[in-house]
Amino acid sequence: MAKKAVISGVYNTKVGVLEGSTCMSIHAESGIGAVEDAGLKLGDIDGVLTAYATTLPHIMLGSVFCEDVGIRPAHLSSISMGGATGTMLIQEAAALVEAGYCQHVLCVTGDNRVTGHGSNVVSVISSMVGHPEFENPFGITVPASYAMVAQRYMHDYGLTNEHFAAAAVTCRKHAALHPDAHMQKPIEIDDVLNSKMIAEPLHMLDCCLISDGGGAVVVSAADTVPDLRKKPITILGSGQGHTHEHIMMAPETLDHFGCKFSAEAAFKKAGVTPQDIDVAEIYDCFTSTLLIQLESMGFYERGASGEAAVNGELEIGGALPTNTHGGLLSFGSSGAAGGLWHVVEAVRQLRGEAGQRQVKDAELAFAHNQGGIFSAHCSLVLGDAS
Amino acid sequence: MNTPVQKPNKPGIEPKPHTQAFWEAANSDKLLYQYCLDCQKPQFVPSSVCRKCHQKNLDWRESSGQGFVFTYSIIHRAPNAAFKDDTPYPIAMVDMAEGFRITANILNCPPERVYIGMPVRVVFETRDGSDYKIPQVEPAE
Repeated sequence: MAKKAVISGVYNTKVGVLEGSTCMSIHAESGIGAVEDAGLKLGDIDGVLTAYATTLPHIMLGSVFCEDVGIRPAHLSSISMGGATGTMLIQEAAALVEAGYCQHVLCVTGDNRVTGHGSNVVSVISSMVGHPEFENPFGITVPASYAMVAQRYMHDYGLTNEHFAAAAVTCRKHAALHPDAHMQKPIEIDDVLNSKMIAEPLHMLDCCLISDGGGAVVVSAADTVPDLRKKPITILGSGQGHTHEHIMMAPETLDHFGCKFSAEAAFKKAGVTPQDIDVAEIYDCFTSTLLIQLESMGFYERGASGEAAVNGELEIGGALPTNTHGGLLSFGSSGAAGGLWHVVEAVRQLRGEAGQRQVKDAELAFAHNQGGIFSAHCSLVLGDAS
Repeated sequence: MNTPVQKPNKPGIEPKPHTQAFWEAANSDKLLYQYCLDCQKPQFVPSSVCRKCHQKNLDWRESSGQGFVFTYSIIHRAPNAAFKDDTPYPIAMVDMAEGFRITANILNCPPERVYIGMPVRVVFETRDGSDYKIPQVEPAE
């Protein structure tokens, strides 16, 4: 019989502009932090999974990390799937534990995108996902790619700029309750609508931040629970979905992406529905990304997420508290760590450790990451194991 | 004394073996697309194989150059210095009459005139530093 996997430890660094940090110092703080949170020692870790880092574009980032902190795990790999990597690390770690390869797998991410890239950051990131022959020659950007999806979605389903703005306002309210968040100054809908236009219809405050920071999660075998310090959180279901890389090659209506499949698979394995979820932590590289995914994954009917956002349904205390740490939009965004922070927050909510952000009686959480331009998706359903 | 700042060229085209014919045709003001002789379906962007049957029985066909804007954005923040002077500029996904989709800028068109469903036609742009002309679109009305 397969072993069960639980999440035993989580950690995030402070997020923002971290002067003096490096990609590896952020990894080290994150990894050691998550292991301590689990009540373990680095020597207990027999599996390590890392993502990629744009500030340290090495072909063996996992080996660089293990060398840096001084561990020699029995199993090590690095996964490079853009923004989807965070939840994918957790899914892979669970598979390693359930198959009996590892007892304790450390999933560690981090980047110092602000201090590491400086003013080049926009061109560095933009050149990474566009097609070199059929998109980049037209001056495409990451925001413009998402903006083209948003423009069509608004046309087809009636979402508006006010709806998108409400998602940004909600995330900022939540970030104000998190001591480690990058941006905490309150904003109103008009602030979003009046912020600088980046790629119509997306304004600057519709776009996620660019931050320094890291995060880590330890996934352990359920039979090690007596050794753990914190309440274990069970990975009840997980799933992936993949349809394309470049947005011009996406399923042509631009309204169903891999998130539909990844969420369906995760819900089915967990034996629950979107309506059962108490708290949702969903990849929000743009406000439009969040709302479109909420609808594609079955949390709302097409076109209904906007009013829900305006009515406060996504706020702590609302019907579907979403991105309770502030998300990529306000907690911060630093490569694969951005997505992993959604998992970190889901775990804290289920442990009852979220302080002022605590969602009352949170027993079932959903965490979702996506990478590229709606290209690669991985969803998790997490629950209180006790 | 002002030293004129050299504006960098926009990215040049580096054709791959399976896109060489496309770019050479663009230099003759022709927009080509791949066509699978087994599936009898168009495909774009070009690949070494058909994305439906995964075989290599692919041919090139010439497009009429007529299409409609499926969606678009007006870019205000350019990806790099080469595009900065063009802002704000439209970028669009254009569905061509033959059933394939391209990405292009909409030339000869004020940004505020762009709309979803707008008929456009292909035009070929000559660029400094590029050995190949770039297929773009302009309003067809």
